[in-house]
Amino acid sequence: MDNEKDEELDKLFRRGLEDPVNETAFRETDWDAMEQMLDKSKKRSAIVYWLPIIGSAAALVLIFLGYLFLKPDVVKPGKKDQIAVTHPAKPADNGKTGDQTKSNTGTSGEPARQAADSSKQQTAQNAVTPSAHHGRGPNSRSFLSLSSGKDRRHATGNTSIKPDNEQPVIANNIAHNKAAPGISNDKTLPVTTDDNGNQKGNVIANNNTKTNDKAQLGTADSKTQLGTADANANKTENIAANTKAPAASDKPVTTNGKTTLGIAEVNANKPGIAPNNVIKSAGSKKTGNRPVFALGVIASSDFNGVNSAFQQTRIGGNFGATFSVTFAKKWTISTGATYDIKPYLTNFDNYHTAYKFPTQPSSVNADCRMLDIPININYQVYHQRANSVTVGTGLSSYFMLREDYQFNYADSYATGPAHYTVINKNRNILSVLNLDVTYTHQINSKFGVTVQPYTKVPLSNVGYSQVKLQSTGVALGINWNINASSKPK
Amino acid sequence: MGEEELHQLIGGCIRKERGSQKMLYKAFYGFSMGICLRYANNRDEAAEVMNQGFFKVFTRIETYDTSRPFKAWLGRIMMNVSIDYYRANLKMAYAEDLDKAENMSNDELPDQKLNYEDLLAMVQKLPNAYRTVFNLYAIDGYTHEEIGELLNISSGTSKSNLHKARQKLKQMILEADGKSNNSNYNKGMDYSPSVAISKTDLHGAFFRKNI
Repeated sequence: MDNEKDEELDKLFRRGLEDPVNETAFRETDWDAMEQMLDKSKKRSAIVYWLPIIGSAAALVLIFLGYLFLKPDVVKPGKKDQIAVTHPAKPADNGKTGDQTKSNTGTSGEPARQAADSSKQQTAQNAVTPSAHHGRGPNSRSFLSLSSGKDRRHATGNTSIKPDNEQPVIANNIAHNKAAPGISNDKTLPVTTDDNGNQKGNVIANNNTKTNDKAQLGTADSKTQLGTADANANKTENIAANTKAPAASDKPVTTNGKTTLGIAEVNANKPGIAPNNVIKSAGSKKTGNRPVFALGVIASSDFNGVNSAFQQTRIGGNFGATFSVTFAKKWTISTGATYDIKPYLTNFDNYHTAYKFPTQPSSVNADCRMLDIPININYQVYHQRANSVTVGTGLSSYFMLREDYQFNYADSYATGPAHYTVINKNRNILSVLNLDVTYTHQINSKFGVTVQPYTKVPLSNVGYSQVKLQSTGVALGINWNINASSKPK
Repeated sequence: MGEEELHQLIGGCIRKERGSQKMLYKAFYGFSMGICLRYANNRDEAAEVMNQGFFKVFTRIETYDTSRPFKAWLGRIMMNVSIDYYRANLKMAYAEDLDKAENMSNDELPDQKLNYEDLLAMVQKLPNAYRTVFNLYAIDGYTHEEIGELLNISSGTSKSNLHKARQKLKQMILEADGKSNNSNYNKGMDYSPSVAISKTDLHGAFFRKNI
């Protein structure tokens, strides 16, 4: 009986509502709202379209930087390191030495220019022979072995002269070769020797003449000077003597009484020392710039409020992973992703919606779940032993996964929606400013613990409700330095 | 609207032509609004829900199978967005209504002719949870099991809500009849025009329903 009545009731409504005779009249305002939705989605889809492209570009840049910084630091004997052994040359060729020197200078950058006459040739021989005889310290030996490499630079300027005693010619060129690893700005400057056999700074190209202290130290802008010897055997012997003495000592510069030695001497000085030193210094310099990549996990608890109204804060929690690159001594770039649980309470005045509430709620309880993707830069302000403190700033993007809003009404009998849920709709790109201070205690070379007080200041309204959501809290984390132990040899 | 014209409009919508979108919107405005109004509290809400439905239509029009009736596809979308819009409220129990509903008499329905607006007004006055179940069962023809799946409630809750909805509608019809007889339509009616919400009720509902 009841069923029949129920069916009768259902039929009454079905007939009346299923196919209304007078359909609801079209309202232009409804279409306007529809158009707004469509236009808004266009903009959003444009952003969504660019996101993967931007992300891919960022990833490529990161990979490229990673490759640049992480590629192995192998000191390969480059062309500048090439020092050749003696090229046997016939005396008949001596007359061409100058030309050869020129051409070699052009190709190798070596200071090989030399006057092309037999006396010069002799000078070269003299210059070489003493070092061959006297400069056989352990350093010079190692230098010789270095210079004998297959692909090392041939110092033809002097070595084109075959010494009579068939001993390897170690001359200015060799010395230069040694200095080369540390020299990035080789300049060939002619140096003449005076009547006393002392080399003077560039008589020929006066302005550019420098003594080779820098070259001796293997610094970046060292300039090598060519010894342009005068035709005087005695003078050249003096040069040879000068060359010899440094070769036996560790002192980079050997002076000859009045004048500073030309670079040939300086370089001859270094054969045994410079290669190792230069390589070491290059290595240590690279180590200083070598970026440290670190992964981390963090968990934090924070207070969340709207418009700095922290009297209405709610406590939320976050956890996630971080990735950082220390690209300079004190500078670090970090990013990552954290899953944030951000509950908050706010007055309804701060809640923005197009929906017209029948009765205006007094407040809104919100519970937002989101992905926070920050990109921050940090500067180390304190570092002592295993402890360090950095300050950082950057921007965060919020990807709203779920937003639950509960509306509170002042009147218990008020009518209106109680809840509203938005799922995975809102994204706020780079809309939150991050400020943080991070204390790190390094447990060992690879692992460290961090304590990070932070605050997140909204730069624009976020979420469906378009509120200025602010968070302040403390994060705890563990960092793992991925490449901490991979030091260059 | 002929089939060919409809397909042309759909083609224009696929190409994101705003003109075609507007024409389709206007063509099916009444039909869509008719569905959304049944599930909504009022016309403004219905228009908002309907626009959400059309938004889905325009953004997913490529998925429409042209071999099937467009109206059925559109109607299903409108129904789904309507359910989604009020989903948060659908699990709520309305304790204050239960007693009144249980005390309804089993009087015969008055032999009164009610027009579309009258019936729509009555349905819209039902609480969301009752209205949704009533719409799905009585008008759209779903079973309680299907409704349970759609709304993520048990079929028992669906039956219960349907029963309460019917009771309230009967009460409204009787009242309407009384009004027409006595020109005193709303006398004695004490139901909420929409969902009554209070903090205490909410908490109670949450704890009872474990949500």
